[in-house]
Amino acid sequence: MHAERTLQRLKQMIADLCAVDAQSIRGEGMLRGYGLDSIRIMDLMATIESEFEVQLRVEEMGSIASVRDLAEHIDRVIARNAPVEAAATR
Amino acid sequence: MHPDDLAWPDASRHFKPYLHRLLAAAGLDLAFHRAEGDFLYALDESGREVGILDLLGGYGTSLLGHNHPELLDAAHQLLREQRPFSAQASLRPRAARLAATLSERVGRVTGRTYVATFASTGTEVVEAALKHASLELLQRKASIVERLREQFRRLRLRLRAGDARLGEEVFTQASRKLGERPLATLDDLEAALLQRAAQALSAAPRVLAVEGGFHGKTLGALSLTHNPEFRVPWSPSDISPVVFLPPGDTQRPAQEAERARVEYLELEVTCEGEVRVLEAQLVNVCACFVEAVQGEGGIRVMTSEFLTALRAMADAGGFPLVLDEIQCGLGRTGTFLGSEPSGVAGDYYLFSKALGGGLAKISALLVEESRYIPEFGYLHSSTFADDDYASTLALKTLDVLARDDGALLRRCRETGQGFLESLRALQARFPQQLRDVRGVGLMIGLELAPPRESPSALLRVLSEQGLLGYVISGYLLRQHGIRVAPTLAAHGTIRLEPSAYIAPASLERFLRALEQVLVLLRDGDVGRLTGHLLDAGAEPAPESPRAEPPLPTSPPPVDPRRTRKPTRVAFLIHFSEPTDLRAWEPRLAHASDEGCARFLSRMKGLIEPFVVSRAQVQSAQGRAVDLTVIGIPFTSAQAMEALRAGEAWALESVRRGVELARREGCVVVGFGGHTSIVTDNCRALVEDELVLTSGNSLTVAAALDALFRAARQQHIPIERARLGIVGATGNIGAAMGEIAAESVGELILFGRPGAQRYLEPVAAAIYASELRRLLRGGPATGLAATVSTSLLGRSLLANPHALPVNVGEVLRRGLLEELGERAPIRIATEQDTLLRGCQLIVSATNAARPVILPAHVTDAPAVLCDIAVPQDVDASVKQQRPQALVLRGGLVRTPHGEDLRIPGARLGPGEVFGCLAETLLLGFSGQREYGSQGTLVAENIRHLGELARLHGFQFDLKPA
Repeated sequence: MHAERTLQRLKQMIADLCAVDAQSIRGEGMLRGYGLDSIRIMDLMATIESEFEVQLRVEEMGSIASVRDLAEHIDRVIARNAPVEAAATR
Repeated sequence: MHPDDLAWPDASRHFKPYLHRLLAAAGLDLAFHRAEGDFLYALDESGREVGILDLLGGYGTSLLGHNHPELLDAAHQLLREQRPFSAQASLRPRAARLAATLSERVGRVTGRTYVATFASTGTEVVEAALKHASLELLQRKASIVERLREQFRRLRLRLRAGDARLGEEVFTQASRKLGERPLATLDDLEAALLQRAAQALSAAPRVLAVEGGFHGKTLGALSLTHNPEFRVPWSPSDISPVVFLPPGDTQRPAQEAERARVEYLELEVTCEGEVRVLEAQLVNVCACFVEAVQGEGGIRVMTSEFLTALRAMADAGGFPLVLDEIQCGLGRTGTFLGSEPSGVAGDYYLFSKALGGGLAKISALLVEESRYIPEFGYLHSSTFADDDYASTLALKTLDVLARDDGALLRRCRETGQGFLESLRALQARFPQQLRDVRGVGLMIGLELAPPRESPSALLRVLSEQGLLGYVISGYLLRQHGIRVAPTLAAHGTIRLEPSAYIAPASLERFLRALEQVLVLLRDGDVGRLTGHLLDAGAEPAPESPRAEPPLPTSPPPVDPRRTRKPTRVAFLIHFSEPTDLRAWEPRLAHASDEGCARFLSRMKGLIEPFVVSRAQVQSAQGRAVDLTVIGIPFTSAQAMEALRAGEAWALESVRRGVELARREGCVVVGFGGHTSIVTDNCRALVEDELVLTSGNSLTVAAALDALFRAARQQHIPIERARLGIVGATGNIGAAMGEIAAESVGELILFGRPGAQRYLEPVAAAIYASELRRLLRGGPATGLAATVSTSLLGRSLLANPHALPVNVGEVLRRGLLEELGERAPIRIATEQDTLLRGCQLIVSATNAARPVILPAHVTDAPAVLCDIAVPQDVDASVKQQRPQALVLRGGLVRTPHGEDLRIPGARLGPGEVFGCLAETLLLGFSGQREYGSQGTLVAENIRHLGELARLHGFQFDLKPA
């Protein structure tokens, strides 16, 4: 459920950035199919970072091809950060 | 489409999606709702019923035409009588009567009697024949072992009775023949002989079939079907090893039977009581399958001599000859059996297709009575077989065919003869277009000649890829209302199998239509031939554009004076826009924009990559490369759509393009246009042999060279100039910054709002690179001049062994603090006034619309190099900023101005894209390790730039 929500939010960000209909974006679609090449992927990363309040690493983006890959990556980064946050609040 | 079926417009999703696309590609996507005689009926767009002359005849099923009135009456009556549909495991008198009738009809020709096995489709009786023949062979093998045991039992009885003598020499003889240690006792001998027989007989039997033959698509039948297109995808599942005999070769059958021979030993006791060990043998062949007239193999008539040789082989080997009469039998060829004129009888016969009169699904295997294994009818069965409905309709069909002493068969023969003569007369007039007219009776094949010399590139590609027969079928359907289709295994052969009742006027109509096809093929008039695929209903332009000579289809001859063999390289291109179709195929010059789009959409994923052109290019160093330009049949939009949908076909298409390059002997493959994007700059392909390159390095080198050259002409002092890089977060922009840093006074990296974080590492990397240059003793030019005179720079250079790991970032932060606005690299995330202050601008964004407008450009002399596609610099800049020179970056001129004619590229004479130039360069230099894949490396860009100059590529292009 959590993963599905990330995917939906990501789709909306791509839709806004690339001026396409969010409904038309498929999870298995390739990011580069939306013109998200080495330049625009940075724009998307900036949006993701402010929306999800995470920090992405450029070098980790190389192996990400599809929209779903990226959503899963975001979830992994959130999970990676979670214990730190939990510790900080204690 | 019939109104009842309109509710399911998305038919291709759940049902044969690939076939739907094939049909659409050829314009054969029509739904028929009614059939009568030799006509099928469809509704046109206005809902009007349109009759289509059907010469395909259900692959030979409609021998009596569609819905023959007598058969229709019989069918109605059966339904009214409420005949049982399912009555398995009971007596089936209708089926029995049909079996007797078939036996009698075939027996009239062969003088033998047969036992029938029924099923619903042709391929099922092929399976049944394979099973029966296997059982026959297994029984023969079992009887060999049984006989051997019996020989020993008989010998023991005779020894006991003193009626036989077992000397030492029998054991010696046996062990010699077996190649074994000496045998001592009779029990040993028996065990050894049984073991030898079991070993020999356990070898998998072969099945023989004929090259070009087609027997069906179920697994067993498929293994006998020669065409690899249908067989190979399942080939590891082959039931038995199948040997394909070349048709017409009368020697091979006996040789193959000989090769399948297995040997074992038997015992013989003479009347005198002498015991001997003898060699015996079995031809380990299950059966031989043959069609007297091959149907799907391209309508090929087997000669009597060949069929006779098969008969002799089967007789000698003791295995059955199976005559597959499924398509050619029952009278289509003018005789009840297609094999009849040869005088050769089969042991098994197979019938289907026309047997049900076009109304019932039924097939029959006839096995000659003496060979028939009684249990087979129990062991092998099929739920829908033997029913009253199909059996009665088959009986009715046989009745209609036999009527008036076989009048319909005579009609097939005579009509076919006249039709064949007319077709051959046409062939004599168009020998370059119609290679062969084959057939007998109303089973006719027209083999098209491949239009290798045609002036039309599209026609050549369609033919090479086996699509021409389908496109012609589509043309005949859409323009002439005639339905034909290529044979399944020989796509260049169009098959004609009309009903026995076909009217002479209908055949006349076909002849006129065929003549038009042949004229269009002769003239290379692909516009008319594919008109139905471009603009539905629109008439093509009355005149064909001028004929262009065909491009060479084989590599150009090598100049004998040159000793070094040219390296072969390939460059992949595609259609940028659908309208590029017109540039590639001038004969479609009349096609509308929508027509081009429609055509390419129909062909999506069906056409294989093809060779567009070949050329030889010489370098200034005397090296040569043979360039093969390979067309990947997609448009930019189709490629992006495929990526967005996560569909693999576009990537697969590029992969096949690379395979084509490999077959062409190329060692370097350059990726033009969207082929780079589809493959993620080559990274999505795994390749260890060929060098793949996106060609981006030389694109960058060429753009910078052109920028600086133009700057000098404009008297802009480069060493003091401010260079703005628009799109600096990107791969190309960042690499350009690193290289330009050696020469310019200041760099401003532009990115979108929010990109600050990503531009900082780019700036840091450039600083680090400049510092390293100074440490290596390089000149203090470009940004290094400022670095070397700054306080921070001086302190870092003074302690080269104690540099921090993140020295680039240290410099970036420190110089900003120390120099403020005078820092050599600055970052801008708004298209603000900073851009107006740049004398030099390089733009490499991927924005859909121009991002650089007159307001962004200085009024003073400036040079803008635009390497973006589509372009970043708005057309109004040239008018409103007359002092600014706008260059189209990334272009290169070939060393000797060779014109490489890339269709649709819209380049000046001798101009090529940097990516193509890099491909050629890697071929010239042999320095393949410098190919660009993935992220660009500044060092490679510099090196390739130098190498390009050395080999004579020129960067001084005219302004855009």
